[in-house]
Amino acid sequence: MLFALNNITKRFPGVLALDGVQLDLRAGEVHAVMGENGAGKSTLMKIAAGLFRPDAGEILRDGQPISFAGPADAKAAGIHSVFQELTILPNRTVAENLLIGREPTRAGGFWLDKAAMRAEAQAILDRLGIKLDPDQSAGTLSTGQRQMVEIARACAQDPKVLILDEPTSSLGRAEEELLFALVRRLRGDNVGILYITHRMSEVFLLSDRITVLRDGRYVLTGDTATLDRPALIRAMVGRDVAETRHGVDAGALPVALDARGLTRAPAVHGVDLTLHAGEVLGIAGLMGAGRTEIARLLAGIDRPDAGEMTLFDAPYAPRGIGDALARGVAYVSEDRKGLGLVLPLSVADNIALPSLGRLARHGVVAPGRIREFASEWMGKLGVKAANGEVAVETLSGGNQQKVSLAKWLAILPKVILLDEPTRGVDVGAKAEIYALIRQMAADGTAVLAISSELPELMQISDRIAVVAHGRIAGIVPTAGATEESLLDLAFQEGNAA
Amino acid sequence: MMAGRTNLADYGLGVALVLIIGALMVLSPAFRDIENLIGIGRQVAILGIAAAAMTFVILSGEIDLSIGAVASASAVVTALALSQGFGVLAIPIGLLAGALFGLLNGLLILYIGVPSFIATLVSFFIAQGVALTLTGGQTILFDADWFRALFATGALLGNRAAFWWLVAVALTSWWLLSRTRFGANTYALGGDAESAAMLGLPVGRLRIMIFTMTGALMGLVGMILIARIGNARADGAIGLEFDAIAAAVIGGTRLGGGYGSMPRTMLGVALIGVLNNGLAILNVDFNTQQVIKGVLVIAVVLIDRWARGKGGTVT
Repeated sequence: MLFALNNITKRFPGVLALDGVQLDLRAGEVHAVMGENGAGKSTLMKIAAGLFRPDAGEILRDGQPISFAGPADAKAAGIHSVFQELTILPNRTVAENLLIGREPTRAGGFWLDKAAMRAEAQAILDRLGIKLDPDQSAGTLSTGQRQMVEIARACAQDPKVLILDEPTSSLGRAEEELLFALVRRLRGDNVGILYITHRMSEVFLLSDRITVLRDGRYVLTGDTATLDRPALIRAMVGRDVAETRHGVDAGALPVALDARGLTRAPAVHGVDLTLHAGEVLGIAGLMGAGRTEIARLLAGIDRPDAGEMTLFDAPYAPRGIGDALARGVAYVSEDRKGLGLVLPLSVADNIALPSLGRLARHGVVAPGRIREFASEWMGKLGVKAANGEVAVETLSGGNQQKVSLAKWLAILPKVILLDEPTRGVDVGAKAEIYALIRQMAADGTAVLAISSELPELMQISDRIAVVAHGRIAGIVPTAGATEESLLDLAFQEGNAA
Repeated sequence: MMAGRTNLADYGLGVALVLIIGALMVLSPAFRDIENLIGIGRQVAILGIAAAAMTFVILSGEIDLSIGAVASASAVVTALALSQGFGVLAIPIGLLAGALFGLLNGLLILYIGVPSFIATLVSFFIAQGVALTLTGGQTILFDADWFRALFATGALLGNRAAFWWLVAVALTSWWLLSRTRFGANTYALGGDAESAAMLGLPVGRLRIMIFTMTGALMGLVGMILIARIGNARADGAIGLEFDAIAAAVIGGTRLGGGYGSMPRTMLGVALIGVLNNGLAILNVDFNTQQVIKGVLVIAVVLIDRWARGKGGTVT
C-alpha cells in the first residue's frame, strides 16, 4: 500500500470534521474522493498533506506509520499537493514560484544560481506543455495560469503521492486537457493520485477507484467501473430528507426583485431570477458555483457587466451597498466575522449600527434610544445575552447569527439576501433561525437564502434555484424536489470554465 | 531585482535624486565642493545601515520600532565594555547585545503571537530602560582611539570608516536579498505569509533570523555612533526607526511586505542624505528640514502609486 489514512478523526471548535475516516491509495492509481460540501474531503486531504494534524488515527506510508509536524515533512515523504487556496506568491516570478524552497544554488548552497533557475523552470514548463514566461511576475497571471503553475510546482518535485483538490475549478478547456494528460502520465509513472472534484464526468473519465465521504464519515470505496452516477449521488446524500415543506404559490405574489441576464465575469453568466415578496427562494449549488457572487450583484456590492434588474417594477442598478440599503435591499454576509458584525462592540451597538441614521436627532444618538431599540429587536429574535451591553464576541455562533439578522431586519428591509444563514450554528439555534426566516416571509419580506446544506434549503424555501457554473441550472418548487434531483442539477456539466 | 522589475518608479527616484543634486549644485557652491559630496556618504552611514535592516523587516511583512532604542542600548553596552578595559571583546559584546534584543522581538512575535508593532514597542521600552539603568543618566566616556578609527574616523580611499561600513552592509544585504535562499524566502514571507507556511518554508526561523540580524546590525550602528562622538548616551539613536522607515518607503518598499529592493532603499537613503546636507548648507533650519522630509515621503508614495498605474494602494 502506497499511502493509507486509517481511522482519522479531526475536531475543530464546535465541529467534528472527520470521524474515523479511512482512505487507501495504491501506486499508479487515480483515486477520486467525493462528497457534498462539508463532507470532510478537504480536511482529510489537508491532513494527508501535513497541513492539519489528526486528533486520532494513523497515517501509513509504504506500510510504515508516519506523522507530519508540517507540510515540509509530508513533502519529504514524497507527498505533494495542490489545494484550492492557491499558494502562488504574487510578488515573485513564475520561475521563483516553481522552484521556491529548492532553488538551484552554487558555491556551497548559499548562492542562488539564477541562470540555472530560469533554465530549470523553462524545462518544467516545456515538459508539461505550459506556455508561460519564467520571468513573468506571478501577480500578473490569471487564476487559471496560477493554478497551472501550482500544479507544475507539485509535479516537478517527483511526487510519489499527488493530491489535487478541485484542480479544474479555474481552468479553461485547453488547460484541462493538459492536466488530464499530465494525470495519466503520472499514473503511468506509478504515482498515486488523490483527486477531489465536483465534476462527475471527470471522476468517470480519470479515476480508478472512488471513496465517498458524508458528514465527516466514511461511506464507501469502490472501483469506478462498478459505480454509476445515481449510486454515487445516493452515497453522497444518503440521509433522511426533511419533513416539513413550504410552498407558497410564488406566481400569486407580487414580484419584488427581478434580474434578467445578470452577468459578471468570471463567476456569473446570464442569470435570470425572480424573487417575490413573501416567499423564501433558496439558492443551492456547489462551492464556487457562483451563489455568493449572484447575491453580491443583487446587494449592490459588485456591479454586473451585463443584465438588468428591477425592484418592485422600478429600474434597480445600485451603485453600492448603501444605495441598495436605501432601496430596502439588505445582505447578510456568510462571513459573519469579517463583514457582518463588529465583534468587540456590544450587541446593542451592533444591532443599531445600520439604523443609526434613523435613530439620530441632529446627528446625535441618545444611548437610551439605542438600548431601547436594541432590546426590542433582541426580544423579537430571541437573542440570548445577559443584556445589550455585552460584546458580541462573547456570544455563541447561533446568537451571533441572530444579532447579525436583527441588525439587518431592524432597518425593515423589503428584500433580504441571506448567505449561509446557519453557518457555524448549532442544531437547536438552527431551528430557531429557520422559524425566523419563515416569519420574515410571512410578514411580506422577499427572502433569498443561500445554503450549502440541502436539507436546510428544503426546510425553509418555497422554491429552490440551483446554480451551476455561474448559471441557473434550474428552479424547482420545494414540494416536488428531492436531494437527489437537486444534486443532479448542481452536478450538471457546464461549458463555463 | 527580479520582483521589483525595472519600471518607471525605479527611474523616477533616480531622476528625482539627480534633479535635486543638480539644483543644489547650482544653488550652492559649498554643496558642489567635492569634500562635501564625499562627506554625505559618511553622514548617511548610520541611517543607511538602519534602513538596510529595516528593509529586511518590512519586506518580510513586519515592522521594527525598537531599532533606535536597541542601537542606543548596545552603544551603551559597548562603551561600558570599552571603558572597563574589555578591549577588542567590546565589539562582539556590543553586537551580541543588539542581537539579543532582536531575538527578543522574534521570540515575542513567534511564541507570544503579538504583532511586530507591539513586540518591538515592548523591546523599545525595555532597551531604553536597560540603557538608562546602565548609564544612570550619565554620559559614558571611553578612551579607545583604535575603536574610533575602526568604526568612524579612520580614512580609507578618501572616505571615512563609517562610510565603508555602510558600503559593506549595503552590498552584503543586497546579496542576501537577491542572491540567496534567505532572501527569496524573505520575499515569499512578505508576499503571502500563509502560502509561505503552506509551502513548508521555515517561516518561524526566518522571522527570528531577520529580527536577530536587525538587532546585530543595530549593535554595529551603536558602535559607529559612539566611535564618531567618543561617548555614549542612553538616547543616542532614539528616532532612528522613523528615519529608517522613511528611507525604505521612499525607496519604494511596500509596508505590507513583499515588494522593494536594497538598491532602491539605498536610493532613498541617498535622497534623504543629499536633502539634509543641501538644506543645511542653504541654511534651512532643522525644523523646516523635518517638514520637507515628511512632504517628501508622501510625494514619493504618490509618485510610486501613479507609476504603478491603477491598481491598489502602495503601502
